[in-house]
Amino acid sequence: MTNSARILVVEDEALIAMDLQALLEDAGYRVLGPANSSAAALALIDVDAPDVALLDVNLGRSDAFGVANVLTERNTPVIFLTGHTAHKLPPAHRHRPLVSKPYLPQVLLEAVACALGKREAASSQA
Amino acid sequence: MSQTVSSDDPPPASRQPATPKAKVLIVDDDERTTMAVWSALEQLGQTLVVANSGEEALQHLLHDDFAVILLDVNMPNMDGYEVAGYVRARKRTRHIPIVFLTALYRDDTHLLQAYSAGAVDMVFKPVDPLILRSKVQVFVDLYLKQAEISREAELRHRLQEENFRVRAEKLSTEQALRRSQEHQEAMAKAEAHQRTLIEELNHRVKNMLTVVNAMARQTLASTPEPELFSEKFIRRIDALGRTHALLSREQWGMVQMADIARESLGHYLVEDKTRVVLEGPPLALDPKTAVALGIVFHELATNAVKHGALSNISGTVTVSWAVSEDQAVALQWQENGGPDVSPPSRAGFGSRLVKLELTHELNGEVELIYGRGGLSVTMGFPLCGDTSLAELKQGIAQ
Repeated sequence: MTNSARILVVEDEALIAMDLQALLEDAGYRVLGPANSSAAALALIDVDAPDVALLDVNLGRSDAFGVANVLTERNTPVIFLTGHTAHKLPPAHRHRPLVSKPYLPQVLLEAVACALGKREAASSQA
Repeated sequence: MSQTVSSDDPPPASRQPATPKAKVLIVDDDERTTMAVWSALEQLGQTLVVANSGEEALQHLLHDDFAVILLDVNMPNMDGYEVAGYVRARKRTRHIPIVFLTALYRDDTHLLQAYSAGAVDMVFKPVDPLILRSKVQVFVDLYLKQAEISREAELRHRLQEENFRVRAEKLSTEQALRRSQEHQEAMAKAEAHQRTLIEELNHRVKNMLTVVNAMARQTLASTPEPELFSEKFIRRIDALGRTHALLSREQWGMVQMADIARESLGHYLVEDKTRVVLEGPPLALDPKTAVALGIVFHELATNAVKHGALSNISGTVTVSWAVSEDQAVALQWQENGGPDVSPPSRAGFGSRLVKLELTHELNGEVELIYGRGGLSVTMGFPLCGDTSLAELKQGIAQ
Protein backbone atom coordinates (compact mmCIF):
# COMPACT_ATOMS: atom_id res chain seq x y z
CA MET A 1 0.00 0.00 0.00
CA THR A 2 1.77 3.14 -1.23
CA ASN A 3 -0.15 5.49 1.01
CA SER A 4 1.73 4.42 4.09
CA ALA A 5 4.95 5.34 2.30
CA ARG A 6 7.41 7.69 4.00
CA ILE A 7 8.16 10.90 2.10
CA LEU A 8 11.17 13.00 3.04
CA VAL A 9 10.41 16.70 2.64
CA VAL A 10 13.33 19.14 2.44
CA GLU A 11 12.17 22.75 2.12
CA ASP A 12 13.60 25.77 3.95
CA GLU A 13 10.58 28.07 3.57
CA ALA A 14 8.34 27.47 6.61
CA LEU A 15 5.00 28.14 4.94
CA ILE A 16 5.78 25.97 1.92
CA ALA A 17 7.10 23.20 4.16
CA MET A 18 3.88 23.35 6.18
CA ASP A 19 1.80 23.21 3.00
CA LEU A 20 3.75 20.26 1.58
CA GLN A 21 3.42 18.37 4.84
CA ALA A 22 -0.34 18.99 4.96
CA LEU A 23 -0.83 17.95 1.30
CA LEU A 24 1.13 14.72 1.74
CA GLU A 25 -0.44 13.82 5.08
CA ASP A 26 -3.93 14.51 3.71
CA ALA A 27 -3.06 12.07 0.90
CA GLY A 28 -2.18 9.50 3.54
CA TYR A 29 1.60 9.60 3.41
CA ARG A 30 3.92 9.80 6.38
CA VAL A 31 6.18 12.83 6.22
CA LEU A 32 9.80 12.73 7.35
CA GLY A 33 10.80 16.24 8.27
CA PRO A 34 10.18 18.73 6.90
CA ALA A 35 13.92 19.40 7.08
CA ASN A 36 15.11 22.96 6.53
CA SER A 37 18.71 22.17 5.55
CA SER A 38 20.94 19.49 4.00
CA ALA A 39 22.41 18.71 7.40
CA ALA A 40 18.97 18.23 8.97
CA ALA A 41 17.92 16.03 6.01
CA LEU A 42 21.02 13.85 6.24
CA ALA A 43 20.46 13.39 9.97
CA LEU A 44 16.85 12.34 9.29
CA ILE A 45 17.56 9.75 6.59
CA ASP A 46 20.11 8.01 8.79
CA VAL A 47 17.40 7.35 11.34
CA ASP A 48 14.50 6.54 9.06
CA ALA A 49 14.97 5.67 5.35
CA PRO A 50 12.37 7.43 3.15
CA ASP A 51 10.64 5.75 0.20
CA VAL A 52 10.69 8.96 -1.84
CA ALA A 53 12.33 12.34 -1.25
CA LEU A 54 10.89 15.71 -2.24
CA LEU A 55 13.77 18.18 -2.35
CA ASP A 56 13.64 21.95 -2.72
CA VAL A 57 16.70 22.79 -4.79
CA ASN A 58 17.56 26.11 -3.12
CA LEU A 59 18.19 25.83 0.61
CA GLY A 60 19.21 29.32 1.65
CA ARG A 61 22.86 29.63 0.80
CA SER A 62 23.29 25.92 -0.09
CA ASP A 63 21.43 23.42 -2.28
CA ALA A 64 19.92 19.94 -2.04
CA PHE A 65 22.25 18.15 -4.47
CA GLY A 66 24.41 16.69 -1.70
CA VAL A 67 21.33 15.06 -0.16
CA ALA A 68 20.16 13.96 -3.64
CA ASN A 69 23.50 12.21 -4.25
CA VAL A 70 23.28 10.25 -0.98
CA LEU A 71 19.66 9.26 -1.65
CA THR A 72 20.25 8.11 -5.25
CA GLU A 73 23.18 6.02 -4.05
CA ARG A 74 20.69 4.28 -1.76
CA ASN A 75 18.24 3.88 -4.69
CA THR A 76 15.76 6.27 -3.11
CA PRO A 77 13.78 8.13 -5.81
CA VAL A 78 14.24 11.89 -5.70
CA ILE A 79 11.82 14.58 -6.87
CA PHE A 80 13.13 18.10 -7.20
CA LEU A 81 11.00 21.12 -6.38
CA THR A 82 12.23 24.41 -7.84
CA GLY A 83 11.34 27.81 -9.23
CA HIS A 84 14.20 27.38 -11.70
CA THR A 85 14.07 25.38 -14.92
CA ALA A 86 15.63 21.92 -15.40
CA HIS A 87 18.75 23.33 -17.12
CA LYS A 88 19.79 24.80 -13.76
CA LEU A 89 20.15 21.25 -12.36
CA PRO A 90 23.60 19.60 -12.51
CA PRO A 91 23.87 17.05 -15.39
CA ALA A 92 23.74 14.08 -13.00
CA HIS A 93 20.26 15.12 -11.83
CA ARG A 94 18.83 16.69 -14.98
CA HIS A 95 16.77 13.61 -15.93
CA ARG A 96 15.12 13.33 -12.51
CA PRO A 97 11.49 14.31 -12.01
CA LEU A 98 10.99 17.99 -11.40
CA VAL A 99 7.98 19.81 -9.97
CA SER A 100 7.96 23.52 -10.74
CA LYS A 101 7.09 26.17 -8.16
CA PRO A 102 4.38 27.32 -7.78
CA TYR A 103 3.09 23.72 -7.75
CA LEU A 104 -0.40 22.33 -8.16
CA PRO A 105 -1.27 19.79 -5.43
CA GLN A 106 -2.40 17.17 -8.03
CA VAL A 107 0.84 17.52 -10.00
CA LEU A 108 2.89 17.14 -6.83
CA LEU A 109 0.94 14.07 -5.64
CA GLU A 110 1.12 12.47 -9.11
CA ALA A 111 4.90 12.93 -9.16
CA VAL A 112 5.15 11.26 -5.72
CA ALA A 113 2.87 8.38 -6.78
CA CYS A 114 4.83 7.91 -10.00
CA ALA A 115 8.16 7.79 -8.14
CA LEU A 116 6.75 5.28 -5.66
CA GLY A 117 5.36 3.15 -8.52
CA LYS A 118 8.73 2.95 -10.22
CA ARG A 119 10.37 2.03 -6.95
CA GLU A 120 7.95 -0.80 -6.38
CA ALA A 121 8.36 -2.06 -9.95
CA ALA A 122 12.12 -2.05 -9.48
CA SER A 123 12.02 -3.90 -6.16
CA SER A 124 9.58 -6.56 -7.44
CA GLN A 125 11.91 -7.26 -10.38
CA ALA A 126 14.88 -7.70 -8.05
CA MET B 1 61.16 89.72 -75.39
CA SER B 2 61.99 86.65 -73.40
CA GLN B 3 62.34 83.01 -74.23
CA THR B 4 62.56 80.02 -72.00
CA VAL B 5 63.83 76.93 -73.67
CA SER B 6 64.78 73.61 -72.36
CA SER B 7 67.54 72.27 -74.52
CA ASP B 8 66.28 68.74 -74.38
CA ASP B 9 62.55 68.50 -73.83
CA PRO B 10 61.71 64.93 -72.98
CA PRO B 11 58.36 63.50 -74.07
CA PRO B 12 56.14 63.69 -70.98
CA ALA B 13 56.36 60.76 -68.57
CA SER B 14 59.07 59.02 -70.60
CA ARG B 15 61.58 59.43 -67.78
CA GLN B 16 60.41 59.31 -64.29
CA PRO B 17 61.28 60.70 -61.99
CA ALA B 18 62.57 63.47 -64.31
CA THR B 19 66.23 64.21 -63.80
CA PRO B 20 66.29 67.59 -62.03
CA LYS B 21 67.57 70.42 -64.17
CA ALA B 22 69.32 73.60 -63.28
CA LYS B 23 68.22 76.90 -64.77
CA VAL B 24 70.69 79.39 -66.19
CA LEU B 25 69.61 83.02 -66.58
CA ILE B 26 71.24 84.87 -69.49
CA VAL B 27 70.81 88.64 -69.28
CA ASP B 28 71.95 90.79 -72.22
CA ASP B 29 70.33 93.46 -74.38
CA ASP B 30 72.45 92.33 -77.31
CA GLU B 31 70.89 89.40 -79.16
CA ARG B 32 74.19 88.40 -80.70
CA THR B 33 75.61 87.81 -77.28
CA THR B 34 72.56 85.88 -76.04
CA MET B 35 72.69 83.73 -79.21
CA ALA B 36 76.38 83.07 -78.71
CA VAL B 37 75.91 82.23 -75.03
CA TRP B 38 72.92 80.05 -75.87
CA SER B 39 74.77 77.96 -78.37
CA ALA B 40 77.74 77.68 -76.05
CA LEU B 41 75.60 76.35 -73.19
CA GLU B 42 73.01 74.32 -75.11
CA GLN B 43 74.92 71.09 -74.81
CA LEU B 44 74.98 71.27 -70.99
CA GLY B 45 71.41 69.93 -71.17
CA GLN B 46 70.04 72.45 -68.63
CA THR B 47 67.21 74.97 -68.92
CA LEU B 48 68.32 78.26 -70.41
CA VAL B 49 66.32 81.40 -69.74
CA VAL B 50 67.04 84.59 -71.69
CA ALA B 51 66.20 88.11 -70.51
CA ASN B 52 66.85 91.10 -72.74
CA SER B 53 66.90 93.69 -69.99
CA GLY B 54 67.59 94.11 -66.30
CA GLU B 55 63.88 94.54 -65.52
CA GLU B 56 63.00 91.33 -67.34
CA ALA B 57 65.76 89.51 -65.46
CA LEU B 58 64.33 90.67 -62.13
CA GLN B 59 60.88 89.44 -63.17
CA HIS B 60 62.29 85.94 -63.83
CA LEU B 61 64.06 86.06 -60.49
CA LEU B 62 60.77 86.78 -58.73
CA HIS B 63 59.44 83.26 -59.23
CA ASP B 64 62.33 81.11 -60.40
CA ASP B 65 65.51 79.84 -58.82
CA PHE B 66 68.71 79.79 -60.91
CA ALA B 67 72.01 77.95 -60.71
CA VAL B 68 73.83 80.99 -62.09
CA ILE B 69 73.12 84.39 -63.67
CA LEU B 70 75.15 85.46 -66.68
CA LEU B 71 74.76 89.23 -66.46
CA ASP B 72 75.74 91.83 -69.03
CA VAL B 73 77.28 94.86 -67.37
CA ASN B 74 76.36 97.51 -69.86
CA MET B 75 72.64 97.71 -70.50
CA PRO B 76 70.33 100.71 -71.06
CA ASN B 77 67.99 101.79 -68.17
CA MET B 78 69.19 99.33 -65.54
CA ASP B 79 72.78 98.20 -65.87
CA GLY B 80 74.31 94.96 -64.59
CA TYR B 81 75.56 96.47 -61.33
CA GLU B 82 72.09 97.67 -60.44
CA VAL B 83 70.56 94.25 -61.22
CA ALA B 84 73.25 92.61 -59.12
CA GLY B 85 72.41 95.02 -56.30
CA TYR B 86 68.77 93.88 -56.33
CA VAL B 87 69.77 90.22 -56.51
CA ARG B 88 72.06 90.56 -53.51
CA ALA B 89 69.50 92.58 -51.57
CA ARG B 90 66.74 89.97 -51.82
CA LYS B 91 66.94 87.09 -49.42
CA ARG B 92 65.55 84.61 -51.93
CA THR B 93 68.13 85.43 -54.61
CA ARG B 94 71.13 86.44 -52.50
CA HIS B 95 72.79 83.03 -52.89
CA ILE B 96 72.67 82.91 -56.74
CA PRO B 97 76.16 83.29 -58.21
CA ILE B 98 76.54 86.10 -60.74
CA VAL B 99 78.99 85.96 -63.63
CA PHE B 100 79.39 89.31 -65.37
CA LEU B 101 79.64 89.45 -69.15
CA THR B 102 81.66 92.41 -70.26
CA ALA B 103 83.25 93.61 -73.46
CA LEU B 104 84.72 96.84 -72.16
CA TYR B 105 86.39 98.12 -69.04
CA ARG B 106 89.04 95.57 -68.75
CA ASP B 107 90.80 97.79 -66.29
CA ASP B 108 91.08 97.03 -62.55
CA THR B 109 88.59 99.72 -61.40
CA HIS B 110 85.74 98.08 -63.23
CA LEU B 111 86.80 94.62 -62.15
CA LEU B 112 86.73 95.77 -58.54
CA GLN B 113 83.31 97.38 -59.00
CA ALA B 114 82.01 94.15 -60.54
CA TYR B 115 83.30 91.96 -57.69
CA SER B 116 82.04 94.34 -55.04
CA ALA B 117 78.59 94.24 -56.72
CA GLY B 118 78.55 90.51 -55.99
CA ALA B 119 80.15 88.92 -59.03
CA VAL B 120 81.90 85.61 -58.51
CA ASP B 121 83.50 85.65 -61.94
CA MET B 122 83.93 87.63 -65.11
CA VAL B 123 83.67 86.51 -68.70
CA PHE B 124 84.83 88.76 -71.47
CA LYS B 125 83.10 89.26 -74.77
CA PRO B 126 83.26 87.90 -77.28
CA VAL B 127 82.65 84.79 -75.25
CA ASP B 128 84.84 81.77 -75.66
CA PRO B 129 82.29 78.88 -75.71
CA LEU B 130 84.60 76.38 -74.02
CA ILE B 131 85.58 78.70 -71.17
CA LEU B 132 82.02 79.85 -70.62
CA ARG B 133 80.68 76.29 -70.70
CA SER B 134 83.30 75.12 -68.22
CA LYS B 135 82.56 77.94 -65.80
CA VAL B 136 78.79 77.51 -66.04
CA GLN B 137 79.21 73.71 -65.68
CA VAL B 138 80.81 74.27 -62.26
CA PHE B 139 77.87 76.33 -61.03
CA VAL B 140 75.32 73.91 -62.49
CA ASP B 141 77.02 70.95 -60.76
CA LEU B 142 77.15 72.87 -57.49
CA TYR B 143 73.48 73.80 -57.79
CA LEU B 144 72.37 70.25 -58.65
CA LYS B 145 74.41 68.80 -55.80
CA GLN B 146 72.89 71.24 -53.32
CA ALA B 147 69.44 70.55 -54.67
CA GLU B 148 70.05 66.83 -54.22
CA ILE B 149 71.29 67.34 -50.69
CA SER B 150 68.26 69.40 -49.71
CA ARG B 151 65.97 66.91 -51.49
CA GLU B 152 67.53 64.09 -49.51
CA ALA B 153 67.22 66.06 -46.32
CA GLU B 154 63.59 66.75 -47.09
CA LEU B 155 63.00 63.10 -47.94
CA ARG B 156 64.61 62.04 -44.67
CA HIS B 157 62.47 64.58 -42.85
CA ARG B 158 59.32 63.32 -44.59
CA LEU B 159 60.22 59.69 -43.84
CA GLN B 160 60.79 60.60 -40.23
CA GLU B 161 57.46 62.42 -40.08
CA GLU B 162 55.74 59.48 -41.76
CA ASN B 163 57.37 57.17 -39.25
CA PHE B 164 56.14 59.35 -36.38
CA ARG B 165 52.66 59.53 -37.91
CA VAL B 166 52.48 55.73 -38.39
CA ARG B 167 53.68 55.16 -34.84
CA ALA B 168 51.17 57.65 -33.44
CA GLU B 169 48.43 56.04 -35.51
CA LYS B 170 49.42 52.59 -34.28
CA LEU B 171 49.39 53.84 -30.70
CA SER B 172 45.98 55.46 -31.02
CA THR B 173 44.62 52.36 -32.81
CA GLU B 174 45.92 50.20 -29.99
CA GLN B 175 44.35 52.52 -27.44
CA ALA B 176 41.04 52.49 -29.31
CA LEU B 177 41.19 48.70 -29.51
CA ARG B 178 41.88 48.47 -25.80
CA ARG B 179 39.04 50.86 -25.02
CA SER B 180 36.71 48.88 -27.28
CA GLN B 181 37.77 45.62 -25.61
CA GLU B 182 37.22 47.14 -22.18
CA HIS B 183 33.87 48.44 -23.34
CA GLN B 184 32.87 45.01 -24.67
CA GLU B 185 34.01 43.32 -21.48
CA ALA B 186 32.00 45.80 -19.42
CA MET B 187 28.97 45.23 -21.66
CA ALA B 188 29.28 41.45 -21.38
CA LYS B 189 29.63 41.79 -17.62
CA ALA B 190 26.59 44.05 -17.40
CA GLU B 191 24.57 41.64 -19.55
CA ALA B 192 25.59 38.66 -17.44
CA HIS B 193 24.75 40.63 -14.32
CA GLN B 194 21.35 41.50 -15.77
CA ARG B 195 20.68 37.85 -16.69
CA THR B 196 21.55 36.83 -13.14
CA LEU B 197 19.26 39.51 -11.75
CA ILE B 198 16.38 38.43 -13.98
CA GLU B 199 16.88 34.77 -13.07
CA GLU B 200 16.97 35.70 -9.39
CA LEU B 201 13.86 37.85 -9.82
CA ASN B 202 12.11 34.98 -11.62
CA HIS B 203 13.00 32.62 -8.83
CA ARG B 204 11.78 35.04 -6.16
CA VAL B 205 8.50 35.65 -7.93
CA LYS B 206 7.86 31.92 -8.29
CA ASN B 207 8.77 31.36 -4.68
CA MET B 208 6.49 34.18 -3.57
CA LEU B 209 3.61 32.74 -5.61
CA THR B 210 4.25 29.37 -3.94
CA VAL B 211 4.16 31.05 -0.52
CA VAL B 212 0.89 32.78 -1.43
CA ASN B 213 -0.57 29.46 -2.64
CA ALA B 214 0.49 27.76 0.57
CA MET B 215 -0.91 30.65 2.61
CA ALA B 216 -4.23 30.35 0.76
CA ARG B 217 -4.48 26.56 1.16
CA GLN B 218 -3.49 26.58 4.84
CA THR B 219 -5.76 29.52 5.68
CA LEU B 220 -8.61 27.77 3.90
CA ALA B 221 -7.94 24.52 5.81
CA SER B 222 -8.31 26.33 9.16
CA THR B 223 -10.99 28.84 8.08
CA PRO B 224 -13.36 27.28 5.54
CA GLU B 225 -16.07 30.02 5.87
CA PRO B 226 -15.71 32.17 2.71
CA GLU B 227 -16.05 35.59 4.37
CA LEU B 228 -13.73 34.81 7.25
CA PHE B 229 -11.32 33.18 4.85
CA SER B 230 -11.02 36.18 2.56
CA GLU B 231 -10.60 38.55 5.54
CA LYS B 232 -7.80 36.46 7.07
CA PHE B 233 -6.13 35.64 3.77
CA ILE B 234 -6.10 39.23 2.53
CA ARG B 235 -4.70 40.48 5.85
CA ARG B 236 -1.92 37.89 5.78
CA ILE B 237 -0.95 38.78 2.20
CA ASP B 238 -1.11 42.48 3.17
CA ALA B 239 1.32 41.85 6.06
CA LEU B 240 3.69 39.99 3.69
CA GLY B 241 3.38 42.90 1.28
CA ARG B 242 4.31 45.44 3.94
CA THR B 243 7.45 43.54 4.95
CA HIS B 244 8.42 43.31 1.28
CA ALA B 245 7.86 47.04 0.85
CA LEU B 246 10.20 47.67 3.77
CA LEU B 247 12.81 45.35 2.22
CA SER B 248 12.42 47.09 -1.15
CA ARG B 249 13.07 50.44 0.51
CA GLU B 250 16.27 48.98 1.97
CA GLN B 251 17.10 47.37 -1.42
CA TRP B 252 16.97 43.88 0.10
CA GLY B 253 19.80 44.68 2.48
CA MET B 254 19.68 44.60 6.27
CA VAL B 255 16.62 45.99 8.06
CA GLN B 256 16.08 47.03 11.67
CA MET B 257 14.05 44.89 14.09
CA ALA B 258 12.14 48.01 15.23
CA ASP B 259 11.21 48.80 11.60
CA ILE B 260 9.92 45.26 11.00
CA ALA B 261 7.80 45.46 14.15
CA ARG B 262 6.56 48.96 13.29
CA GLU B 263 5.66 47.88 9.75
CA SER B 264 3.76 44.81 10.96
CA LEU B 265 2.07 46.49 13.95
CA GLY B 266 1.85 49.99 12.51
CA HIS B 267 -1.89 49.83 12.56
CA TYR B 268 -1.98 49.50 16.38
CA LEU B 269 1.00 51.76 17.01
CA VAL B 270 -0.65 54.61 15.13
CA GLU B 271 -3.96 54.28 16.92
CA ASP B 272 -2.50 54.42 20.41
CA LYS B 273 1.22 54.52 21.04
CA THR B 274 0.80 53.45 24.65
CA ARG B 275 -0.78 50.12 23.73
CA VAL B 276 2.18 48.67 21.84
CA VAL B 277 5.65 49.38 23.16
CA LEU B 278 8.86 48.48 21.34
CA GLU B 279 11.98 48.04 23.49
CA GLY B 280 15.38 46.99 22.24
CA PRO B 281 18.75 48.05 20.87
CA PRO B 282 19.34 48.75 17.17
CA LEU B 283 19.41 45.33 15.53
CA ALA B 284 19.99 44.77 11.81
CA LEU B 285 18.44 41.60 10.36
CA ASP B 286 18.74 39.91 6.97
CA PRO B 287 15.75 39.76 4.55
CA LYS B 288 14.89 36.11 5.32
CA THR B 289 14.66 36.86 9.05
CA ALA B 290 12.72 40.04 8.35
CA VAL B 291 10.08 38.20 6.31
CA ALA B 292 9.73 35.47 8.96
CA LEU B 293 9.39 38.00 11.80
CA GLY B 294 6.91 40.05 9.76
CA ILE B 295 4.68 36.94 9.54
CA VAL B 296 5.18 36.21 13.27
CA PHE B 297 4.28 39.76 14.37
CA HIS B 298 1.20 39.75 12.15
CA GLU B 299 -0.08 36.43 13.54
CA LEU B 300 0.56 37.49 17.14
CA ALA B 301 -1.12 40.88 16.63
CA THR B 302 -4.15 39.29 14.94
CA ASN B 303 -4.47 36.87 17.84
CA ALA B 304 -4.07 39.69 20.42
CA VAL B 305 -6.83 41.69 18.76
CA LYS B 306 -9.17 38.71 18.66
CA HIS B 307 -8.44 36.96 21.98
CA GLY B 308 -5.64 38.77 23.85
CA ALA B 309 -4.53 42.10 25.27
CA LEU B 310 -5.64 44.18 22.28
CA SER B 311 -9.20 42.79 22.45
CA ASN B 312 -10.22 45.17 25.26
CA ILE B 313 -9.63 48.92 25.67
CA SER B 314 -6.77 48.86 28.16
CA GLY B 315 -4.48 45.90 27.46
CA THR B 316 -0.92 46.45 26.24
CA VAL B 317 1.73 44.58 24.28
CA THR B 318 5.43 44.99 24.89
CA VAL B 319 7.81 43.72 22.22
CA SER B 320 11.36 43.60 23.56
CA TRP B 321 14.58 42.15 22.25
CA ALA B 322 18.23 41.77 23.15
CA VAL B 323 21.28 40.20 21.56
CA SER B 324 23.61 38.01 23.58
CA GLU B 325 27.38 37.91 23.18
CA ASP B 326 27.15 34.68 21.20
CA GLN B 327 24.91 36.42 18.65
CA ALA B 328 21.64 34.85 19.77
CA VAL B 329 18.56 37.09 19.62
CA ALA B 330 16.07 36.91 22.52
CA LEU B 331 12.66 38.26 21.48
CA GLN B 332 9.73 38.63 23.85
CA TRP B 333 6.07 39.27 23.03
CA GLN B 334 4.41 40.18 26.33
CA GLU B 335 0.70 40.92 26.62
CA ASN B 336 -0.61 42.62 29.79
CA GLY B 337 -3.99 43.84 30.95
CA GLY B 338 -5.99 41.69 28.61
CA PRO B 339 -8.39 38.89 29.38
CA ASP B 340 -6.94 35.67 30.70
CA VAL B 341 -6.20 33.24 27.88
CA SER B 342 -5.93 29.47 27.79
CA PRO B 343 -4.42 27.14 25.18
CA PRO B 344 -6.83 26.40 22.33
CA SER B 345 -8.14 22.86 22.18
CA ARG B 346 -6.71 22.48 18.68
CA ALA B 347 -3.58 24.34 17.56
CA GLY B 348 -4.71 26.89 14.99
CA PHE B 349 -2.89 27.80 11.81
CA GLY B 350 -1.63 31.05 13.36
CA SER B 351 0.17 29.48 16.29
CA ARG B 352 1.51 26.63 14.14
CA LEU B 353 2.86 29.23 11.68
CA VAL B 354 4.52 31.22 14.48
CA LYS B 355 6.21 28.07 15.79
CA LEU B 356 7.34 26.96 12.34
CA GLU B 357 8.71 30.37 11.37
CA LEU B 358 10.87 30.33 14.51
CA THR B 359 12.01 26.71 14.41
CA HIS B 360 12.05 25.92 10.71
CA GLU B 361 12.80 29.26 9.09
CA LEU B 362 15.02 30.85 11.74
CA ASN B 363 16.63 27.74 13.26
CA GLY B 364 15.43 28.95 16.67
CA GLU B 365 12.93 28.06 19.34
CA VAL B 366 9.67 29.40 20.71
CA GLU B 367 7.46 28.99 23.77
CA LEU B 368 3.86 30.18 23.97
CA ILE B 369 2.45 30.71 27.46
CA TYR B 370 -1.28 31.34 27.69
CA GLY B 371 -1.74 33.13 31.01
CA ARG B 372 -3.31 35.95 32.97
CA GLY B 373 -3.81 39.14 31.01
CA GLY B 374 -2.84 37.67 27.67
CA LEU B 375 -0.29 35.66 25.73
CA SER B 376 3.40 35.58 26.45
CA VAL B 377 5.73 34.39 23.70
CA THR B 378 9.40 33.79 24.34
CA MET B 379 11.41 33.48 21.17
CA GLY B 380 15.09 32.93 20.45
CA PHE B 381 17.02 32.57 17.23
CA PRO B 382 20.62 32.87 16.01
CA LEU B 383 21.60 36.09 14.23
CA CYS B 384 23.39 34.00 11.63
CA GLY B 385 20.88 31.44 10.37
CA ASP B 386 23.55 28.88 9.42
CA THR B 387 24.08 27.95 13.07
CA SER B 388 21.02 26.79 14.99
CA LEU B 389 20.18 28.21 18.39
CA ALA B 390 20.65 24.75 19.92
CA GLU B 391 24.19 24.63 18.47
CA LEU B 392 24.90 28.09 19.89
CA LYS B 393 23.76 26.97 23.33
CA GLN B 394 25.84 23.78 23.13
CA GLY B 395 28.82 25.93 22.24
CA ILE B 396 28.32 27.90 25.46
CA ALA B 397 27.81 24.78 27.60
CA GLN B 398 31.11 23.27 26.38
